[in-house]
Order: sequence, then C-alpha cells, then structure tokens
Amino acid sequence: MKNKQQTEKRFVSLGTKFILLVVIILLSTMGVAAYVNVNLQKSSIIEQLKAKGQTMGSFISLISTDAILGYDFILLDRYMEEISHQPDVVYGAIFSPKNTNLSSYLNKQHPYIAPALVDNTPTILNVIEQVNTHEDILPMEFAIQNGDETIGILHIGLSTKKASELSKRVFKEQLAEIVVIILFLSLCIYYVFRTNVLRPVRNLITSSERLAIGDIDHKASIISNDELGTLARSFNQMTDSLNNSHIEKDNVVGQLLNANKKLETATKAKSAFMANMSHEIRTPLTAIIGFGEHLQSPDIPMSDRGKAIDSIVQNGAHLQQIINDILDLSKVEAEKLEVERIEVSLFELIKHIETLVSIQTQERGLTYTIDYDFPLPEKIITDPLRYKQILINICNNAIKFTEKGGIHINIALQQNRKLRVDIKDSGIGLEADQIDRIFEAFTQADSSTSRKYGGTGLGLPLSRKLAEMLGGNITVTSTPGLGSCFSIVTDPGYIDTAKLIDKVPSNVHTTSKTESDTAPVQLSGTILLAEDTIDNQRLISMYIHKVGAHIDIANNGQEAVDAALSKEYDLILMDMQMPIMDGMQAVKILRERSYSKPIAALTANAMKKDMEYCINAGCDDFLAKPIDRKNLLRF
Amino acid sequence: MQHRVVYQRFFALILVCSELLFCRLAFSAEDPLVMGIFPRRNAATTITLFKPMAAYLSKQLGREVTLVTARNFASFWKGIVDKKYDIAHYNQYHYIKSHDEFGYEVILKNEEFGESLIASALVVRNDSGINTLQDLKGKKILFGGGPKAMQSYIITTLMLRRAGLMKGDYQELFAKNPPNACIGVYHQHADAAGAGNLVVNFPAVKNKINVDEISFLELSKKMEQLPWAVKGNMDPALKIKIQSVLSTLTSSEEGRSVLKQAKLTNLLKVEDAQYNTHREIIKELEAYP
Repeated sequence: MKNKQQTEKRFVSLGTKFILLVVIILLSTMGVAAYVNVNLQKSSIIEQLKAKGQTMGSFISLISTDAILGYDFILLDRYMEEISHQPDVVYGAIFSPKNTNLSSYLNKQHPYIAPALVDNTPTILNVIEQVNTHEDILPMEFAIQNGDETIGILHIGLSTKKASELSKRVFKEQLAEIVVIILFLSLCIYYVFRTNVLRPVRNLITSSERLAIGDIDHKASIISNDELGTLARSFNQMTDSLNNSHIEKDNVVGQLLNANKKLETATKAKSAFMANMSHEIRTPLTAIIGFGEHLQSPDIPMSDRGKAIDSIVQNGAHLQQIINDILDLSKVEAEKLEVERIEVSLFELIKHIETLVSIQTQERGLTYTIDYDFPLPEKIITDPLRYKQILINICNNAIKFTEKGGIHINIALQQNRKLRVDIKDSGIGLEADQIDRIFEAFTQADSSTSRKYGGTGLGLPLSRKLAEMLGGNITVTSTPGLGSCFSIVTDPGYIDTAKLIDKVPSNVHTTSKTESDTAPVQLSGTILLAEDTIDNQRLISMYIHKVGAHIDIANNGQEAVDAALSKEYDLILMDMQMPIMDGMQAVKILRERSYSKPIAALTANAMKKDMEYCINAGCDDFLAKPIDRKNLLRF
Repeated sequence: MQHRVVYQRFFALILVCSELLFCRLAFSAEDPLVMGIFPRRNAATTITLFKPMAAYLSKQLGREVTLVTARNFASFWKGIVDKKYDIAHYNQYHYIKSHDEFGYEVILKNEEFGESLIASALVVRNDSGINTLQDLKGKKILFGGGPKAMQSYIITTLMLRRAGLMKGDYQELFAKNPPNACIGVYHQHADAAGAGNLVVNFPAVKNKINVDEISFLELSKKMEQLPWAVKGNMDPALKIKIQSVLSTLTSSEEGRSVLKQAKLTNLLKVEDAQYNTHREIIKELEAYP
C-alpha cells in the first residue's frame, strides 16, 4: 500500500524542486538578513532616540535649574512646550524632589495618554507611570541639580512606535526588494541550472526513453564537460556496449544456430557413423569369427585353412586400423595427439608410400605414376609416421574411389618453402558441397558412399588434422565424374637451399623387412607374465615358448609380486588392469622392495599419458594391446 | 542794485542749503536712543514684545532707537546707574529711585487690560484655609520678582507689616515674576503669592492654571501702572516728541499693532507727582525694621 502511495506521488520536476529549493534558501537567508538588518536598524533608531532624549533631557535639566530656583513655572512650561515640539515625545514633566509637579507636557493625542486621563483626578505621576507600562515607551529621567543638591527631576517619555513603524516599513520595503531580487536571482540561477543541468538531464532522459523503446543506435548529446557530460559519455558507452552485446548476441545466436545445425548434422553424421562403424566393425568381426568357427571344424582342407587364417589376420588388422583411426581422431580432437619432428629422407618416405600404393593399384588394375618437381630437399623435418599416415590415407581413398584410370602423385616445393604432395585420381570426383563436408569427422560425401565404398569417414578429417599439426593443410579440387586432386601441404622444416637436389638420389630404398623381422628369434631365460585373461596368457605363452624362453603365469598383481620376490625372472610382462591387485600397484611394490629386473607394462590403454603413468610407476617399457608379436619379441 | 539783490538772494540760498545740510549731517551724527526695558519677562520675550515699538519710535523720531534689556533686575539697574538708557521702562520703585538719584523723568505709564491703575494683592488658594493676613504667619509667601518689585513685594510687604506680620513671621520666597508666584501658589509651592492684581488676567496665568481656584486675600488701593521715563538731561523737545509718539499709538493702526505686540492696551501721559503714593509707601516700608 505504502509502495503504491509512493509510486502514485505526484511528479515534480527536478527544475521545480531546484527552483523551490533556491527560493527557500534565498528567502530564508535574505529574510533572516533583512530581519537582522531591520532589528539592527530598529536598535539603531532607538539608540538614536535615546541619544536624542539624553541630549534633550540633559539640556533641559541644565537650564531648568534657574527656573526652578526662581519659581519660573512659565519658563518651565516653555521648556515643556519646547519638548512637546519634539517628535516622539509622549510626555515631559518636571517634579520637585518631593514629586510635586512643577511643569508638565502630555501629548493628549497619543493613544496611551487619553486612557490614562480617564481617571477623574489623575496625577501627572500616575499618568506617566501608566504610560510607561507600554513596551514602546522609552522612559528617561534626569536629575536637575543645583550644585550637589537635587532640586528637581525631569521625566521624558519617548515613543519608539515610530521607530517600530519605520522598521516595519523598512522591513516591508526590504521584503519587496528581496522578493524582486529573489525572483531575479532565481530566474538567473534557474537559467544557469536549466542550461547546465536540466538540459543535459532531459537529453539523457530522452535518450534513455528512446533506448527503452529499442532505439539502441541513438546517442545522447554531450552538452557539458562535467559529471553530466561524463554521464552522457557513459550512457553512450553503455548503448555502444548494448549495441555490441546485441550484435554479439545475434552473432552468438547465429553461432548457436549454426552450431545447433552443425550439431544436428553432426548428430545425424554420428548416427550414420555409428551405423557405418557398426558395419565396418561387424564386417571384419564377421570374417574373424566366421573363419575362426570354420577353423574349429577338423575336416577343413589345409588350403581352406590357410585362406581362413589369412582372412582372420587381414580382418583383424583392418579392425585394428579402424580402432587406431578412431583413437587418433579422438586424440586430435582432445588435443592430446603429439607429433614429433625428426629429420627423414623425403625420397625414402615417398618410396615407401609408392611401394604400398603401387601394389594396390596393380591389384585394382589402375595406373600409378609419380613426378618430382625438382629441386627438392633431400631431407625434411617432420613426423614420418604421421606424414606417411596422411599420404597412405589419401592414396587409399584415391584408389578406393577410382574404378578406372589411375593415380598420379606429384611432389613439389612451393615458393613459400612448403612441401606439396598432389595425389590425383580419375575417380568419381566430388560435388562442391561434398568437398566442404568430407573433412568433417564421421562424414563422407554422402551416405550412399559408405554403403558403396565402405570406410569410416575418419580418414580425411584425421589426415587434415595431422597435416595442420605438421604445419600445413589439405585442400581438394575435384570435378564430379572426372576425379579429384588432394594437395597435402606440410612444413618441411628449415631447408638449406644448398642441399636441394635435382634428381632422385640413387641410394633411396624402401624400408624392407629386416633380418631380425624375418629370421627366427631364439630367446632364453625365464619370463613372468602377469595377465588375468586366459586367452592372452595362452597367446603370449605360445609366443614365448616358440622362441625358446620359459614363462610363468601370474593371474593378478599379488601373485606377480609374490612370484617375482620368490623367484628370479629376466623380464616381467605386467598387465596393468588385473583383479585383486592391479599391475601399477604391483610394480610400485616391487620397486619399493628394490626389485631391479626389467618390467614391461601390457595395457589396452595406448595413450601417451598411460605410457607415462606406467613409466612413472616403475615400468621399464610399454607394450600396447593387442600384442604385436614382433614388438613382444623385441624385448 | 539789482546785482546786489541777486547776490544777496544767492548767498541766502547758499546759507539755507548749508544749514539744511549741516542739520542733516548733525542729525545723522547723533547717537542712537537707547530704550531699556526691565526684565519683567525673560530677555528674549522682552525683545520680541518691544522691538516693534522701538522700530516705530525710531521711524517717528527719524533717529535710531536701540532696544536693550537685561538678564535680571540687578543688571538692568546697573544700566540705570550708568545712565545707559535714554528711555527706560521699569517698575515704580525703579523709577522713584532713578528719578531721585539720576534724574529720570516719567513721561508715560502702561495701560494693561484697559487698566492704567494697578493694585497689589496677596493671592492664596481657595482651599488653603487662609482667610486673613494674620493667617500667613509662619507660612511661605512667594513674591513675584524680587525685593525691588513694587507691586509684588514692596506694597504687599507693607500690607503684611500693617497687618502685624514682621520680617521673620513668614518665609519669603521669590519667584521669577508675579505670574510665576501665582502659579507657584496654585501648585502649592507656597501658601501665598505677592503680585499685582492684574496678574490673574495674564494669559501666562490663565492658560496655565484654573484661576478660579485662587483668590485675593487682600488688595491694596489702585496706583499708577508701570512707568516710562527718559533721562533728565534729554532735550525737552525730544522728550515731548517721544511722549507724543508713544502716547498716540492708539490713533494709528501701526501704533495699535505695536501696543498689541507689547501686550499693552495703551500708553498714557503721566507726571512725576502721580508716583508720590509709591514714594510714601517705600518710605513707610523702609521705616519698618
């Protein structure tokens, strides 16, 4: 209720309040000043009156001495008559020391005298005493001396009424002057206030009202260089901020809409991907499981058994590739993937790709050519694993989407010192809109592509990310039906122009199987395998036994600790995730108990972070699952 | 012969003109006549009252007349002693003394309120309970003027003596003048006042007090009013001229105005013998211890 009353208060403008305040202050100040001045004037007039009475009384009392001594009442009366001519004198009287009246003058026109004379036989003294009761009567007494003897007393009564009336008149005049002055000053002050305060404030009010109705482009005029000017500037800054906020909001909304659109697209893509992945994973799994079940039959001819085993190995490898791609992409997106920078031979690296690509093109009846735009650096600084991964991905795609014709690779050093590899095919090509989407994860040109050609749609996004990490990019030019050209540009590191070459070096060779890869490995000693999975126990035991070493099995970390501390082993293969006690804790216990033999971690968590955890826990090396036989035997 | 007559007539004309011129120069060389007025009233009032008379006389005589007065009787008397005044107006006592000692001759007397004679009176308040002169024994008597005042003091004192009241039987007080003595009695500053009987007619008294509340306890017989005298050695023609001018004031408007201004109704010719009564009174009073 109170709030309602407050809100319903009548609007009183700032100008009205200010002018009222000014008027009140001026009126009170000048009123007080006028009052004080008038009182001072009144006091001054009364003092003058007193002085006048004093002079008059002193003089008459002086000259009355002889008259009294000579019983010259007529002369005394003349003195009183003289007094009567003086303004403001209400009465004058001379008394003997025994209060016998010698002479007197009473102004019978004075309003105080007439009532005092109403009494039948008033004495002059009674009249005087009665008149003296009035506040505006100034009574004065003067002794009339004859030497030291007082021979009479002169009484004079002066009226201060005229002084009061004069003061009132002066006060009224001053009040009138004050009103005029206040009016003038108020108008002047109001003018200044209106110019310097009200106008900027009203301007701000107008601006805020326009802002309130949505006119955020409106600017407040900066009229004065003061607080209000600052306020106007702040207001404009606020509107700017608001404007920017609106723009940002619109941008954000736009971005959100785009993101939402992308999210929807991504969701669709991910759904499609999941379906595709399901297909891609199930397909090799079908082959692996199917051929595996098929091998369980004892009556399978040896020729079919060999093919079945090949299919299982190939599909297993394909499945591993799929999983590796997914892991790599997730690492890239999480910015966890790191690339190394080492010096490698460009030509050896290309030769390796050429070896892989030429085999596949031959299998598909496609041509394969390669051109070098010399001069080219013999050595580049890059991550050879990731660089090859990019090139193989692009080449595999080119081969996959090319039915006839061939693949052509061109290698050149751009003017900006970036290395460029163009992989051109004569495949199905891409529409312009498809080009924009093929580098998005889980996206292929269209869903029919995955159905027809297979693939996860992870290769190109991963390749572009890797190219970016290697200081470059991948761009595409394509003509639907005629083929595509993927250009992989990377930073080859510092290039010494003096070391640029104009032909393929003669000593280039592909990475061939080393002797150690092909020669049968023979090991000795005893290895402790801590692994809770029976199949892995069997598989690794089989690998170890096959190379001649002895192996003991521990089913969890606790057994591994007990075994290692009770028997001497040349190597411990420690699975990280096991029941009862995991491998990490077991390693820690062993290292705490000064176990100094090598321990290699086995884990399906193949991230670098996982490897660091293992190393930090005390492991000497790291082996990712699935176990690669060659890597295992490397130990 | 004819030439001789012509020369005689010419010289006669020259002589006449010379005499006229000489006379004129002689007149112009005369000292101003000094008119001394005794301070019956205060000096300023006296000058105001008699200034027109002096001017009128001067005009009529063709001779400057200087009006003088004195602050008090003593000062005025000194002017008499010094023979300073050619014309003197004073009371009867002063005249008798100036006549006897310095030869002043009375020429005129006052007529006031139509009365050229004046009586002396002892005035009391009606409510005073004083009915006879003997009742004044031990009382305060306020005499107008001073011991030289003929009407107010000398005659009234003689009246008291004759009534058996000697000096010391009453307290003598002296007012500035007779009106004040009456006013003083009225206001009970004294029990009785000594004054001329005409004083109650004076506006200065009538306008100040209620004269009905006072009365004459005793009146003397009427005697000559205040005199105007001239120096005894004054040219008789001038004396006559002055007497003539002043005694005929009522015959002209200007003269009446002069009289009115001086608060007189007339000035009458008088002779020294008319003041013998006063001489006798003075003589009788001086005989009392």
